[in-house]
Amino acid sequence: MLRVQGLTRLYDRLVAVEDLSFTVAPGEVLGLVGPNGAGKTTTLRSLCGVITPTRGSIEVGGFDLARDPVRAKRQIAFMPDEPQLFDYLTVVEHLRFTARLYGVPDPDTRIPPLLRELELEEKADALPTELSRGMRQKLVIACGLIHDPRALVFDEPLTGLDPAGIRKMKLTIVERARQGAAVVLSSHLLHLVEEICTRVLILQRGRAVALGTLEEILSGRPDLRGRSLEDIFLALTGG
Amino acid sequence: MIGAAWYLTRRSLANSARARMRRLRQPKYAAAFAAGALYLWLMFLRQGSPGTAVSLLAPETRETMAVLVEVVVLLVTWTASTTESPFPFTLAETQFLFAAPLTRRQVMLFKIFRSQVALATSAVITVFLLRRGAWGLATVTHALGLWLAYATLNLNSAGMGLLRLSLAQHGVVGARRRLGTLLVLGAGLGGAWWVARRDLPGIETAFAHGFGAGLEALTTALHSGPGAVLSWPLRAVADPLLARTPGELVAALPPALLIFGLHVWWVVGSSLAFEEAATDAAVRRAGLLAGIRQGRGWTRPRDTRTHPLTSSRLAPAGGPEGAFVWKNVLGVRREFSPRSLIVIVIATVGGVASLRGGHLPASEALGAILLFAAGLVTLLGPIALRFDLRRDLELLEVLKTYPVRGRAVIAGEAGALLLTLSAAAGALVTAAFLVTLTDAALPDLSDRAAILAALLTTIPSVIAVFLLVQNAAVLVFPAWVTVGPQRAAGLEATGQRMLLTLGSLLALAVALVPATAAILGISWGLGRAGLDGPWGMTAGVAGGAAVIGGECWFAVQLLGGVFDRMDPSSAGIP
Repeated sequence: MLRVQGLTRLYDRLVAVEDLSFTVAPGEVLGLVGPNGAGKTTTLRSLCGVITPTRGSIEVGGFDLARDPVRAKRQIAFMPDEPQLFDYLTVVEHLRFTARLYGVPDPDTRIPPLLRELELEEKADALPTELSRGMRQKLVIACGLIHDPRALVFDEPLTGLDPAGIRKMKLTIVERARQGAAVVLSSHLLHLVEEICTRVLILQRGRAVALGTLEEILSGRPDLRGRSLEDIFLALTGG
Repeated sequence: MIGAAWYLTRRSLANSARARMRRLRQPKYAAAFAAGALYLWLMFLRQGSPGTAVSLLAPETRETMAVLVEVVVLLVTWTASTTESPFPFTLAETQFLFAAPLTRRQVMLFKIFRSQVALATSAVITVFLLRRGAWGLATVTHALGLWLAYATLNLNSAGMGLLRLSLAQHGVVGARRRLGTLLVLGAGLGGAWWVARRDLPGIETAFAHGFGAGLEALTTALHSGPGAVLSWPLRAVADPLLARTPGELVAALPPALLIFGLHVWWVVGSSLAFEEAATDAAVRRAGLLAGIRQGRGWTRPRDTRTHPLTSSRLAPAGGPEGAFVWKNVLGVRREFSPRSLIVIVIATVGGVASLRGGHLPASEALGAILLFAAGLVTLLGPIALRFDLRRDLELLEVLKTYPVRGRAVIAGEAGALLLTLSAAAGALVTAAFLVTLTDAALPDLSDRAAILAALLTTIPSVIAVFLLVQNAAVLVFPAWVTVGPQRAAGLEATGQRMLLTLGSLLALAVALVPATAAILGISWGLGRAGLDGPWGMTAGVAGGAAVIGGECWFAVQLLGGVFDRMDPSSAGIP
């Protein structure tokens, strides 16, 4: 579903991401972890077409993001860590607007269950200025899910959510993967990554230092066997 | 408390100046700074006498004029101000001050002190510019006087804001709490009404004999009897500003400082309403963390009484341009408050009345006002209203994730204002035509209909060019144009706006070259076929508008490419 080949992104002379390659199959949840400045956000933004890679290619659902951005973007949804919303559209209007852009034919049948799933029903007619941080985050996720994307990219999806919201969000992510979506998730919450991700990509200074299931990663570092992801992460990144 | 506020102000000013200086290393900012400086020099600092005609008037007359200005300012701030909280706290101030072990009085004094620094700076700059860069004792005394006037009026506005909030939120209970203020206000307004009833006929008669005589009568009314008592606070505020010597200033300061002090006492004493307003605003600010973290301020929250959230439904099928148009039209509708409508109606009625004073028939006066308003909408609307990329580019990352080509984004973003402004200006010129329909003194009805048709085809073209220039500027020079709902300040921002206005006019001139050729060609051709006159001209104008439409389409394609290649990480959006 997602295929990244030799992704490199430079900011002037600074190398944010270098020669990164990985794939995410349908139903898989890839956890992207790394210390601050490792290149996680640059990778996620490249995956969604927000920024253009300096080198390398990205395919979403078989469509090359550089050559056929419109069709590639139709397959994917990006949920950034900081909810960015139009301050003069209500919750429902955000969903209608997004549905139209993604060519969703039946928004009226999709919106109510989404509002229910993300507990936004009571806020359907509220403007973003009237929503809490967690609600805003949920609205961004609802907008991401309305077109039933085949690939989902989450950047710190649990930020600002209450405990019930966190549980619900984890279920939403797992459920979407179970339904066949390819999920990429970046988070500093390593227990979350350990809990719901099927594979892990550890980045440091823009390079992949480990990629695979925990078992696969541990096969190269038998000394870390039996340790938590946090210990493995710190050992691999020198933290 | 004052020490902390002074430290914060001093360091903020120094760091802000350093950041601005650093930004000037970029050629585009340096160019804008130079343009802004040149503009100020040409407008204010060029050779010339700092004296004005006003300084030649008698002291009492100058005082009367100052009092009139104060009355207008007070009426405008009392009625037209839409400020939700009179003391808007930044998120940082909210987080630091509200959590600190400070009394409400101390927080209020902190805020008042900080606002004084801004007002004093503004007063110094104003006097410096008005005196055409001349420094001296007079600059200092005038700046001091102007600062006192600014500060007192600002506090008055804040106090009235607190009163409004208290009344709006608590009704009768709020009125009981603010009984003292209401009594003083009522007594003042009642006294003003009584004095006006007594003196106004005489003043009107005097104005009928000439402006000078009228002003003299007004001055007499303000300096004698009950008028003198009522106008004393206003005159006390104005006197330091009007002082011509240090001695006059020293004599004028005590009453002015007394009025200022009373305002500080009044505003600080309104701490209960302040707490409600500030806490309310702080809660909303906390909910707007994202926008504020990006340093772009926040938009006024919805007032459900004035901003009903009804909206037309967006059809699920159709091009993405339509979705952007729908979104931005909703934004325009929600920004437009009924209070704006009231101001427009008052301005129209006032304009008609003043034109009728010049013996213009009512229908012609109204028609002229409507045409003038249409001109304003056409020329200033695209600059003033920002519901397009100028506002949405702060969400560039979101826009870039949509499966939409850049040209569709540009067309949709600019389309909403094009439709809204064209409809408004078109309605105004049509209304002007209709109100003068039966006016026999004007040119033939058929000719006027031809002019109307020409205007209706020209207006969208002009608006489209202006809008595309504004959106092109934000795309090509994102660091130059303020992105988001707020506007930038500073000398380079003035320069940027000036260059942008010049750019808009230049683009319009360039766009008009082929359009003018089309107009002349079509009109000439029709003239040869015997269809000359206003309708032939109108057909030519329609052809010219079509040419401009084609140019705009081409510009949208070009700008769409720029959007597609735009990288949020290197766009330098401020």
